[in-house]
Amino acid sequence: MSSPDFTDQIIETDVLVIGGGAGGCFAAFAADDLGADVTIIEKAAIRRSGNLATGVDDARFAHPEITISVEEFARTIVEPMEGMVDPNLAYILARECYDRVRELERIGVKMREDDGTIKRFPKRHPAAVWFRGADLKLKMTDEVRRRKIRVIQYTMGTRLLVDRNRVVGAICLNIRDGKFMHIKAKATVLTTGGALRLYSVKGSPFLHHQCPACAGDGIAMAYHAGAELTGMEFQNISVGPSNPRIFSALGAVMDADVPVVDARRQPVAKAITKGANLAQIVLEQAKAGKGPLFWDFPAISEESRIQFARAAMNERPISLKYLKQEGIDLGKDRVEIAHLELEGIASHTGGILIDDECRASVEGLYAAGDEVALIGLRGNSALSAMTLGHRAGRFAAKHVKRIGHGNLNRQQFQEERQRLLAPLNRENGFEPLDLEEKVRNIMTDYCGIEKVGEKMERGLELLSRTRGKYLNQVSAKTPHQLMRFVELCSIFDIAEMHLKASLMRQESRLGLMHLRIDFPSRDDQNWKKLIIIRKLPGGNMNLETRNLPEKRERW
Amino acid sequence: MDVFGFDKDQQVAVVLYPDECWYCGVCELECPEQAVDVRLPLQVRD
Repeated sequence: MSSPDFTDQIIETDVLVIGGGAGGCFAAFAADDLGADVTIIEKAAIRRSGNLATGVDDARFAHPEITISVEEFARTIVEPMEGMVDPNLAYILARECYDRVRELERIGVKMREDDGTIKRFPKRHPAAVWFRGADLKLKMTDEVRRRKIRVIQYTMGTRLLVDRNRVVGAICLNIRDGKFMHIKAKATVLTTGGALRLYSVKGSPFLHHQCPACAGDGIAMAYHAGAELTGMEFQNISVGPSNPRIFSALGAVMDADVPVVDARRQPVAKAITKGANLAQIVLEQAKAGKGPLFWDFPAISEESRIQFARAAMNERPISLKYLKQEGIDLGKDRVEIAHLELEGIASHTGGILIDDECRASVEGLYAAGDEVALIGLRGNSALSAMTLGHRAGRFAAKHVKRIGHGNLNRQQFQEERQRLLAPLNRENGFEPLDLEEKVRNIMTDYCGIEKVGEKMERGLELLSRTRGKYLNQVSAKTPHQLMRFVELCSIFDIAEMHLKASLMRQESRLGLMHLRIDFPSRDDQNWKKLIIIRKLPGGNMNLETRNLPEKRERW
Repeated sequence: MDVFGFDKDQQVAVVLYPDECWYCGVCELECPEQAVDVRLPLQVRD
């Protein structure tokens, strides 16, 4: 692959949306509504990209006549988060989710049953409803096409361009033909999803429950642009079956009240209403030398099994085929619960710090979706991403009415050129995925679910050494490999942030999201505050504490 | 995840990056010729 002149193409747009998933599509709709020229760049094919690839089975929204009031919904977002949430954003989310539900209906998503009612799932959450979301992403992308919004597929952002503390666009890479692109944008919205590829996964590094294309590029891009991040010490843990390992619809399992039993079919716990509770139980059982644990599907009614299957068909249809492939009959067979798996940074809790207008701390930059911090309510990821995506697009479009394009920072441009061309020009180097495996092993061995200070310090030392020794020996023979190299750099950055923030927070908070064996209790007196991460002008990673956001309105 | 490519000599779609698949099953849903049959890899089966 030849190294082209950098760059091959320059595009000008008002609002650049990086990531064409739930948040990105709704950001684009909102900006388009206000007359902005919008460009979406998407690393894959937009039709099925991101975590909505195969659909979603539920959403949570406030409506006094359908679910619960805005205030009640906002309380359910804030109360479980032990302070790690912005109450103002929580209220905005609660207030505006239903508007996005109406927008989904307008674009053809079937939110209601055939008789016009909305099916509630109060057991999962007081504001939860079930809907037929299998074709959600298809309807969204049909709307993108209908509006003739410019979409550039198979293209990822590699760095945001910054001119005098303002984001003025991005350098992008086409992951198929290797061409580089400079997109000049008056405002940029980051909607690239969470940071998932941080820990080892059994089987293959991409066998995640969620879309593994989400390597944290948006978080890394925001960091290098000088934006503030927070909550990077918190992580998500998932619980799933051991066979087949690919299985979604955990919410549907709990809705169906599938009992959790041991090998002798004795119940292990009474009511498990949240995945977090189940994760805690699995961990405690393992530490007590007990296990294995099973979901006792034969113990539930046939009607519940049918409802479960319906939910799975909306979220991950192929999971039912996998069950059949493995000869598992839910009417007769228990399904073993796998070990706990670390998913990466806690989506909607750790990530880019945004204000009420979804602005990051650098001018011209907005963010929404799994990569923003202090939103809470992980179980409503899709609708939260759409709601804040809409908001980001709206405020980005308003902002660009008043301004022109920024200037190119030539030094930054040249630095990025050097960074991206280096692996292309290097022969016989390491493969990006091999080095990624090393990083993820370090995180699993030295950080993991139960964090210990000295282990994490050793992990940080190894991470730094690994980066220093090997990153500049990675080669990329194809544009696809260059994509993996860019992701690898993001993973290194995020791993460093996660270790440093976890070390700094000398307490445990939010259950398994941040559990320190050496500081096992919550310490509100010293640690009911945020840890803010920012890249300093000299390049160093700075961490400092800050008070929690204050609630501005009474509700 | 862009795991598919195209073999120009054979004029067929190929799985270029099987190790990067997350077995979401979208390819099976989307293939207009219904030519894709996804099976879980051995590592995650009993």
